[in-house]
Formats: sequence, structure tokens, C-alpha cells
Amino acid sequence: MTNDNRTDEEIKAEARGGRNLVILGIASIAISIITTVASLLIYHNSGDIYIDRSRPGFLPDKSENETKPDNYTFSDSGNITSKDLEEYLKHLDKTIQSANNIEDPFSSDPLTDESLGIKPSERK
Amino acid sequence: MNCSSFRQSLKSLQQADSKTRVILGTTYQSILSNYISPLNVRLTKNNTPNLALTEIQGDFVAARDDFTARFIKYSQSLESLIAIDCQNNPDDFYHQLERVRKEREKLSISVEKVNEALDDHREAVTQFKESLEKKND
Repeated sequence: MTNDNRTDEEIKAEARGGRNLVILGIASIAISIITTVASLLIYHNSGDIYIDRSRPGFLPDKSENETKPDNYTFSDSGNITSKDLEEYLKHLDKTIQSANNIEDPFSSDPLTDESLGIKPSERK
Repeated sequence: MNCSSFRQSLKSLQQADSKTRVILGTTYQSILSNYISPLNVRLTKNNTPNLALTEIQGDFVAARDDFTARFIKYSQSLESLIAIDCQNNPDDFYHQLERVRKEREKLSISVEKVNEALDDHREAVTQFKESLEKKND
């Protein structure tokens, strides 16, 4: 069967099929762009971006990965004795110490005019 | 104003703050899931729930959530500050800097509140331990 034997209806259907395929491709790309933009907006506006350290420039240092955590977990079953609580407090203090090693977290010092090098004449 | 120098300092601060948040955040999470929560569950399972410890757990969770929310707010304002062209908009830059300072102060207070809840918890556990010791004597 040659092309000449095709009816007008068949030729139109083939053209419609090709057009539909292009529309499907464009629609797929448009949907993926919209959903990507929407997810990035949610990621940014929810604030998750600020607590995500997998961003370039915020990746953990090698030394941070090498610090060994205290793997102690207090069991949630069994009787409780004063000895259990003594052990509990010993490990708790060790864990708290890792946070206390940061001296004065979020102190105002790094944002003072002096730290930033803002001269009194430049203050508004 | 040496704007490129400010921007560099603020970006370094942003990275240092991010590191601090992770250390504090993971420590708080570890304290909650490995210590405070299992202790209260164990007390409840033994039919001896400790009201003070349960209340402190609620305070600790609220303080930790507040810390996370404050950090996000502070980071947003710091990012806005970094985005301002201080060469052409020095007034905007300085006003935004004031806002960032206030947000940082609130963030610092939120860390203190978490520490207060932790101190309360430690104190309550110590008292509970002492009461158990007295019972055994």
C-alpha cells in the first residue's frame, strides 16, 4: 500500500498524532518546570534551606564527620534504680558538654560595627 | 564603605552559624530522643510517671522548636542583608543590619531557654535519684 492510497482522514489523523506528541512533550516539560519551581519555593519559604547543610559552601568539614558521638541511649523499659539514674546523668553531662564546647553561641560580637569595620561616620 | 569586605565577613558568619546550629540541633535532638523521652516512657511503663519531668519535656521541646524557628528567621534576615548593595544603598544596609542584630539576640535568648530547660531536667533527675536513694536506706 502506497501513500497515495491513504484517505484524507488517515493523513489528517497522522498529522494530529504528530502534533499531539509535540504538545505532550511541551506539556511534560512545562509541568516539570512548574513543579520544580514550586518545590524550590516551598524549600526556600519554609526555611528548610537554612537548616540544610548539603548546600554548596555549607558542607560539613572533615573534622566534623570525625567526631565520635556518644551512642548511649537510656532504655525505655525495666525498673529504675538510683544507679541507673547515676549512669544516665553521667552520659547526659557528656552529651551536654558537646553543646557547651561552643562558647557563647550566636553572641552579638560578630555583628558589631567594630567587628564589621564600620566607621562611626558611616553609621546612619 | 568597603562593601565586598562586609559581604565576605557576613558570608563567613553565615557558614559559621550554620555549623553552630547543626551542633546544637543534633545535640538537642539526641538529648530528647536518647535521654528525656525514654526516661519518661520508662517511668510511665512502671506506673510511676513523674509530673515534673513530663512538664520539663514539654518545655524542652517548645524551647528547641523555638530555637529552630528563630534560626530560620535570623538566617532569612541575614541573607537579605547580604543581598543588599551597601555601596548604593547604605541606609537600607544599615537598617537591615539592625534587624539582623535583633534577630540574632532573640536567637541567643532561645539557646538560653533550651539550656534552662536542660538545667531543670538535670535538677529534677538528681532530686528523683536522691529520693530513690532515701527509699533504699
